[in-house]
Amino acid sequence: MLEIKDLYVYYGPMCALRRIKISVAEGEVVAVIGANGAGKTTLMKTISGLLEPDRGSIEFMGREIGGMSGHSIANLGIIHIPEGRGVFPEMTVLENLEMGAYIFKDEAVTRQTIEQVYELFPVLENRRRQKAGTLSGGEQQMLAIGRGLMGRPKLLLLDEPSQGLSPLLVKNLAQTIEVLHKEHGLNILLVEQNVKMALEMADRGYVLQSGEVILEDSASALLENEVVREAYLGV
Amino acid sequence: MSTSTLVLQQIVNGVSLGSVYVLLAVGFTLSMGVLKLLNIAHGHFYMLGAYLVYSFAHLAGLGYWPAVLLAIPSTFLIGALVHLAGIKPLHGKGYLAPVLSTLAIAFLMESVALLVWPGTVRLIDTPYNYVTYSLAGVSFTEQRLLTFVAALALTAGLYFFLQRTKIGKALRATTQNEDSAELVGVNTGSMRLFALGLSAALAGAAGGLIGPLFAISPGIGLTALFKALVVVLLGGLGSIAGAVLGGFLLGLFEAFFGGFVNAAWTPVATFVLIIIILVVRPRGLFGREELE
Repeated sequence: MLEIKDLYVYYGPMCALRRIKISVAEGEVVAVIGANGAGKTTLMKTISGLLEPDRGSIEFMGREIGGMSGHSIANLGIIHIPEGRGVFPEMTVLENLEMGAYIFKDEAVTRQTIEQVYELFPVLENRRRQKAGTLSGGEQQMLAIGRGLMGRPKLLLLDEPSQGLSPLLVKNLAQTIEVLHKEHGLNILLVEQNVKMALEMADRGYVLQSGEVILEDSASALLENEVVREAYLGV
Repeated sequence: MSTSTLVLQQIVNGVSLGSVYVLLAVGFTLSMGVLKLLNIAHGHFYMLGAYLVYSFAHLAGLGYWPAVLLAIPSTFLIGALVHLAGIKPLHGKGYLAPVLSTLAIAFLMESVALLVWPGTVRLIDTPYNYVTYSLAGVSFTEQRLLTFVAALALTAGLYFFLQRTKIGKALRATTQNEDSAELVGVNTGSMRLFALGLSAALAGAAGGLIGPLFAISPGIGLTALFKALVVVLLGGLGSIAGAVLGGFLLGLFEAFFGGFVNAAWTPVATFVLIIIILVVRPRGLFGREELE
């Protein structure tokens, strides 16, 4: 459903991404792993339209989306949950969720989706009248994912969802992503520094280094790969 | 007049003046929040609003209220045009370039005003200026009362618009996190255009409402900008509640200083007050960051 070919992105004269070839097929969870500064966030921002590609193509469900604006891409069903969560801090939890359904007109469906999100994250219902900025890091991550689900995505882009979470919360998060994938049939593209968690969840993976894809394989094969084990798993 | 009557009189004067400062400042804070831009031309929309009301009311003979109602969408449109011509092309080109552009726009508007309304100051004459109410020794014109009520109603209207409507919520979301707003499907480019139009319309309304109380000249734009800055500094950047608080504080300060110390020295005192506040509390008296 997502097909990236020969993608180049520059920050001024600096090349942040080069010759990127990544795809996500229907029903897949795909992980992109790599160190800080490898270009993972740049990749996500380029897919979701916050950054413009300088060369190459990004096709989503057969349609070229490279260079389209962020809100148009959100309308097509790609929902990007940004690094650092990006909740609206002065809005309540409920308002944040409602903003997630901004592109939809049908209030009844939005109410229904909110109930589903509350089922997935009961703590959000308890805190629905609280300002998002006052939530803990873990709660903000749940809210960010909940807000993303409100947009009823066809493809979910998750940027460093485990960042700043305790090991227990990372475990919960992994289970949640599993549920989203298996029960809700969500396609997910995930970038992570937490390589073990990402590859255990994913079907396939890519290793990004200095703006280039250096490895591509099934997730289980990458977990066994010498380079990955040495560089990212510390084995 | 006894001292207590004099105090009451200054409270009435200060509160009616303050209500217009509130209106002026909520627009200022709105454009600053959504566009992340210090709009130097904000006060010039206020000046333009006053002149437009004068022209619609006296030259076109429409009467005061129809003139105000017409000046509001007019300043909205001019604000939107200013955004398209002088602010939008500079989006993402650093912080200073768009601010300098609004400075150029401010002086452009002032130069145009000097050409269109040359010569002496203008006065907006309304029948409400000739009706005076007296209450417990305190007197005020009907115009002052109407100005106060209209300014308050517009501010309340803006508050409910931002809290309750979908576009209002999208404006707040854009203020709080522009990338996230775009990612949930908000066209943040349109929000910037709309916010500048709306802030210009609010400033224009403030100018039109205060017009009958003071003389109008092209120079009032810069003074209005300064007052909007002072209000934001007093009440804190970004919140409507802060603008309301700051607006009334400034109105009362001016009325009391003018009434009890020396009217001519009021601007000097306001500047001194600002420097003191800045030194003591750099983020403003009740400083906060986000638009509520």
